[in-house]
Amino acid sequence: MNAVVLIFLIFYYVVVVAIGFWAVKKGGAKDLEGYLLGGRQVGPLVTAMTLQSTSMSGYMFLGGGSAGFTTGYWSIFYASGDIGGGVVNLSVIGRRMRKLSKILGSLTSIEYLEHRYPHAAVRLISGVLSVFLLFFYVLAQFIAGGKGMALVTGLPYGAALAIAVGIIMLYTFMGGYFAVAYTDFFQSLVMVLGMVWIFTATLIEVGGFTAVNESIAKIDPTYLSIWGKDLANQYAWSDLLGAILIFSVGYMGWPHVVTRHMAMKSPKTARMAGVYSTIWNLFFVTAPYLLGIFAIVALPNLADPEMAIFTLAGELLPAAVTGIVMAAIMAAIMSTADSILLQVGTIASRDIFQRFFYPKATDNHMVWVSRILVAVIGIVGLLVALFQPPGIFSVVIFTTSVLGSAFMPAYVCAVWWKKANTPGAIASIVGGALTAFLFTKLNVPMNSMLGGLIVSWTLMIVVSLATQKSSPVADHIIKAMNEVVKVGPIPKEMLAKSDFNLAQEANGINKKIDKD
Amino acid sequence: MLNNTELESVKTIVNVIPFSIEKNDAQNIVSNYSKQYSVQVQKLIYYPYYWILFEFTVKTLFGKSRKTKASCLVDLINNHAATTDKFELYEAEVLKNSVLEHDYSPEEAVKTARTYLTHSSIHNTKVLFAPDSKIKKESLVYKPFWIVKCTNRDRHSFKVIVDAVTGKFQLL
Amino acid sequence: MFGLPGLTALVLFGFPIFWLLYTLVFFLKTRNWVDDSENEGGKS
Repeated sequence: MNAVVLIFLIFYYVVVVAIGFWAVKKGGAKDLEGYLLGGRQVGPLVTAMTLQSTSMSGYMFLGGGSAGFTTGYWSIFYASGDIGGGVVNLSVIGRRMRKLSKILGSLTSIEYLEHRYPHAAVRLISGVLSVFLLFFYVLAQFIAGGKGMALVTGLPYGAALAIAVGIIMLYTFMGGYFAVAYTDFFQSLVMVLGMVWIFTATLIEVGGFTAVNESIAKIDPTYLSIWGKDLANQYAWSDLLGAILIFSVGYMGWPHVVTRHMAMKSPKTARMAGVYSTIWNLFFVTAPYLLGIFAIVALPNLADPEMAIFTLAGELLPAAVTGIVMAAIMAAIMSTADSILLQVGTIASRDIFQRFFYPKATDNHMVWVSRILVAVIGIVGLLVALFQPPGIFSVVIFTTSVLGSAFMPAYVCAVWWKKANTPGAIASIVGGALTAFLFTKLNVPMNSMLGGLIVSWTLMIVVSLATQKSSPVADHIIKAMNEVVKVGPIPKEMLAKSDFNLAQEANGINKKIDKD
Repeated sequence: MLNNTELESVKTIVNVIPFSIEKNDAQNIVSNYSKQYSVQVQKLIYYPYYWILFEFTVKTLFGKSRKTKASCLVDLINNHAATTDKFELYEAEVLKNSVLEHDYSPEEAVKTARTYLTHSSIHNTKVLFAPDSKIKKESLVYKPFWIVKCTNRDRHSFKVIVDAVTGKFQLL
Repeated sequence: MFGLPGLTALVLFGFPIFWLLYTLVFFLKTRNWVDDSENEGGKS
């Protein structure tokens, strides 16, 4: 990439840093307090934008593009499920989970699982599983950041990787300059515009949608088939189902996604978020795969499929725009990595260290535990990314399969099925994770996500029913679940207008006053 | 020894968050949404919280941020923390049996509030840093809630609590 | 359509249409989720 790109990339960071500097030092203390402690001032559109932009990551820019480039229209099945991922999660779990987690007093999604399925094993297994798999997801971001950095700076992969990981670590440990809602929003805006620009420019370059498909047909018509290049996936129904499921329900396994449900300000936000999410996803989820497909024609000599979208940006956008867009993409990747690392840190310090090793740990202790773990992950991740980098697409599919298989039944039944008990949950989490893991590692013909889900759902249902007598669901949990779905002849408007945030107090008052 | 009636009229002085929703207002609010029901305001109870005013700074890449204040309320029955807008406390003399007993101590409440502050700031700034916090003020406070009972012709009934400060309500 | 085989076009356009409908139904059915969060004072 040329000097102009680099100049504008640096210019972008300077602007963002300046915004951050201003916001932290000069900005009103009230804003900072609001942002730090709840961000109540931030409206629904900004919330939705920032929520969605955190889903823009290395997978989207590198993984999606490579899938499109290598398999053709088969890759669209992954987008098909993904488009609905947000609204599915919100409609099935969203509101109820938020209410239940508030009543049970859970701060994190792992804690929530233990509160709902009381047993130390639930927390330990979920915590360890999450940390282990999130490591792989971070790894994917490291690789994406390294490759992007290499492309932009012209440095060899190793050096670029070290820089990218270094910046991510710095950001996680010292951050601050991205710590304002405005910079997130600004960044989202740049990425949105960038993505639209890249897409439009590419479409023009290849002569339009019909033309590009005709060109592809001349190269190899099997790219156009839904079974993909060489009809490789013809009648592979389990893979087809798996591809659709993975990003529609697989999200339910991601701790940082689930935690966002718990943090929703109000049902109104959740409802609008569902709508924004679908509208946003329609374009932004599908575009990377389509761009990869267009690259079959536009970049016939592309050496690394994962570089499809970046290369398109480099060739088709004016240099200055490329610089700014690349900067925003890099920032998104690093921001995603930072979020994941934070999750890992929180889970490790709260759900594992404090819970099992040192209950008296102070907040400072826990912050230190987080930092140590993050540093370890940084080093290990760097080494793996350097010497044995896996493909981004397959890594993300793998981690989502295992997490989704493990946790989907647990989260869904937590709010929908009163008979879901602790043994059922443990069996389902362990069984689902193991199945998805083994199916992937041993290259079993059945799709890992599908297999994992079948096993985890079956175990949840069978084991819960079998152990109803020996491990019934605790009273306070049943009561909490009833709270979440008021039964009885209560007027609808009353239910609708009652305030979510008073659920705790209602619970407390219930404990104290006489029933009369 | 006090007899029952005398016990019921024992008073005590507590710090209360100022409220504007009176008995009639509570009745109207609930009636608005339960047209088929007869609505009766049963009593006013006081819910215990521990209020802590923190002053904190957050470390960033550019050094420490300015001192910022955070007002936290910790629910002393459930031990949950949340932030709150500022309010002026006032002392009120109330019936002792309308005051709900707290299950958690001020020390536990402070710890909970500190953890909440750390957790929130880490999550929102996305940086592994616990804010440097000092307690500026703290106090046991009570928020008044109206307990309202709704009964319909088939004698189905349910209760509602109405937050006397905001007018928001929740089913019991 | 668009130079694509029928099945491919079906998948490419069918799923988005499905999700749009799903979201629409979700949006309409959850009208009663709306609460008055206008006065967010005093308690969070």
